[in-house]
Amino acid sequence: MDTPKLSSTERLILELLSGDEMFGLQLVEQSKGALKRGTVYVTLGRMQDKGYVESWTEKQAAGAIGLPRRLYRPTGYGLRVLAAWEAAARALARPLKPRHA
Amino acid sequence: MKLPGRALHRLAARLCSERTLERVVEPAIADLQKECAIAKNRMHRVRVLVAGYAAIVKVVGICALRLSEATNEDRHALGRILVWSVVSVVATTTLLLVPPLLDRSPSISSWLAAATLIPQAVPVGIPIGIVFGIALGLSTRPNMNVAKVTLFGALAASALNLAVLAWAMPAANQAFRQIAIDESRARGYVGPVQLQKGYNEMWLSELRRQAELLAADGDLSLARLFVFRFHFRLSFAAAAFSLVSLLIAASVNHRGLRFVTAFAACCAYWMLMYAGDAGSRRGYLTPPLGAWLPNLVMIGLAMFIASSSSSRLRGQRGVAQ
Repeated sequence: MDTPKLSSTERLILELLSGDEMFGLQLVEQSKGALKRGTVYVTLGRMQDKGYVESWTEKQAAGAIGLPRRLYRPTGYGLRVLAAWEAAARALARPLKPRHA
Repeated sequence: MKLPGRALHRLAARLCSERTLERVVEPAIADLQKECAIAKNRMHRVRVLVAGYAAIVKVVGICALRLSEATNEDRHALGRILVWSVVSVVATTTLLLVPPLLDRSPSISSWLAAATLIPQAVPVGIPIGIVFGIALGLSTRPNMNVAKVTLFGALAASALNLAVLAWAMPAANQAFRQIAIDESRARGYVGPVQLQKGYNEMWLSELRRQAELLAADGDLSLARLFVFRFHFRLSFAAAAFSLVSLLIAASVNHRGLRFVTAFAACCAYWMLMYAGDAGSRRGYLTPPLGAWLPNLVMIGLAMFIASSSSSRLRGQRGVAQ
């Protein structure tokens, strides 16, 4: 099995989604400029292909017009990849101890 | 109230797969529609529309060109092509502006006069700039992703060129003539001046009307009708040049050699332009064929390079087997 890859944007999205399910535009707003509305759905679509997030369309009220928005939440696999990434980042950030003290 | 984003939805349905439409484009359109529905006032709605449409156009562009599949290497290559193209366009445009500016006597309105000359130089600068941008920007042979986006960019440059030739250049030329008359009057000239539009100062609709009038009068002066087609010919040059440059870049890996080939392509194009012009004037070629001769030769050259490259590849595969 290939090692799962996680870009910095994908990591940010998983971090934001780990709190609650969100719409794409909410992700853009909460990222404080790190995510752009022109690319967030491209990244979310790619993450869905990788199995990191799942999505569904919101239920619209009767008589509502326009397209339904799409809600996103992380999958168990996505959260595991994020946890593994964070653990790896923490391990790499630890100062190295000299081998022969 | 009309729902925004429906036209873009229809466009995206033609350009993108159903899966991409559902997952990527429709959520962006849904955001725009929801934001518009809750906009506080007109100004807010305008801001939402501008930001929303820009985002959707970007999303559709990324999906149509499959840019999300591009690697970092592809993006760097495209960035280098863009930077080199912009530098080459600016350099060529500046070089083309130098001779007419040096010819003119210094006057208070020289900066304004120089500005009105820019739309004349830009349509020539863009195709030349793109050829050199591709030749110098690519450090390796271009792959399909890079070639596709570069061609799309060249088509966009062609559309820009047409807009400059059709609207900006006639207006700027007329303004330049007005400046020249004002300067003459400032220097003491008091005679009558009639500022009639020449062919290079006419809009496309005016040129078309002029061509129809000449044809109706039985005056089929090919040279005059030629001007009308010149606009379309030169605007397509960017696309034709980029096609040839990409194919040359796919065959030639040496940057210096690519530079020389790009220079040769530019010279050949201009020679063909004059050959087509002369051929039309003397009746050897029909005006459309004379006008399009350089582009047709460029496309023919591109097809020749493409077919010889593919037969070479087939030959290599045959040897390998």
